[in-house]
Amino acid sequence: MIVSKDDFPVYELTLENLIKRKDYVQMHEFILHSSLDVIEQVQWNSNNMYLKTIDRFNELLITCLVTPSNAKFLILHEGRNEDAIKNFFNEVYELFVKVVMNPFYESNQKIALQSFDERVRSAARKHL
Amino acid sequence: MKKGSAMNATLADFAFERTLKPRQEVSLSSFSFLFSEIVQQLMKSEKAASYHAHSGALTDPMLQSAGSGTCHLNNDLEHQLYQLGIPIGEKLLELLFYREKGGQGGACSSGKRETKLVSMLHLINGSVFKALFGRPADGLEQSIEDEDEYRILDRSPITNKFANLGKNSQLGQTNCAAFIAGLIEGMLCSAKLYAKVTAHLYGDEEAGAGGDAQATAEGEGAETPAGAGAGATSTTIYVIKFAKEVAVRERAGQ
Repeated sequence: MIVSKDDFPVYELTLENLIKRKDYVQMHEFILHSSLDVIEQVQWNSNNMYLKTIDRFNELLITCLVTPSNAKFLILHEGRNEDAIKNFFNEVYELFVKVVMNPFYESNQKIALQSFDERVRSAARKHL
Repeated sequence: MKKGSAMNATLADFAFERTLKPRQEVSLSSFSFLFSEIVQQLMKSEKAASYHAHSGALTDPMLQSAGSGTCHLNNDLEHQLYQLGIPIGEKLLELLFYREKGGQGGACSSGKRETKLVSMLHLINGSVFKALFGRPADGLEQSIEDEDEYRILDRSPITNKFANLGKNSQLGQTNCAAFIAGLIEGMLCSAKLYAKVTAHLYGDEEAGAGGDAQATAEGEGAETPAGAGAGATSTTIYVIKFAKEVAVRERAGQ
């Protein structure tokens, strides 16, 4: 999930294979949103973009990356390999910057671009 | 951002395949031409709006939705230029950081954000101005009366290079550098360092409203502006006033 600087969810993607357990699927979105509060605190403690795993809910981990203009990339997973997530974030970040560079894209606007979606999915297939 | 026709899809694909490396500089004349067209367009729309008796000064929906709302500039043209600058600032911040640290897929390992107020200002003063105008700004200082207030001095803002400034212009004291002020504000606000940025002309005519106290205080900090020669009249100060919560957080962090 990508959350814009004013806390609007601008892009969401669900990958079936990322979380095996199906117990509380309906809560995933809620868990992700609640972690935004944690980010709000953590983001001032370090000036790295990559904030590592910031929150957990039972076995589910939330890993986060904050861009310089405060867009947040969140991923909810079950203890996935950290390098894989890093690589995934790197790729998504590049795509995201390219979307932002579009002069017709306003901040907080939903990213409804098909080719963005395709590219994120292929990045996910490659790394996760 | 519409999905659908094959034409659009290919254009979007093209956008993703381009690199984000710095490209050649834009020529001054084409920038000035574009900017002057923007100003003229805004002036026209402003006039049209005033004919339609008080029905909201901003006719462009994009201008209405962009930015933070409350008008703190008395001049409408300046305000609109300023509103135009804000989204550009936001985008620019993302791009510059990407180029500096995040490039070559290093966003996670070496990607940095700017969380400290002073270092952010130094960044704007230095590398942002360099990236935009090919030179650093002419000075950055903290206000004497108010420690949440900072100023960036710009001897010859590019937006004012060919602009008719001062009393003889029909609009009175309009400063096109309001555009750059908006740009700086967009950058600061998107880094969650909330601030109001205003552009003030700095010159001997600056005796009237608002900026006079600031202008006199500026005098001792800056080197004599006489050396700037013809550009002296367009010397602009960007007054950056940070919001209370930013200052509080900054002190708590130290």
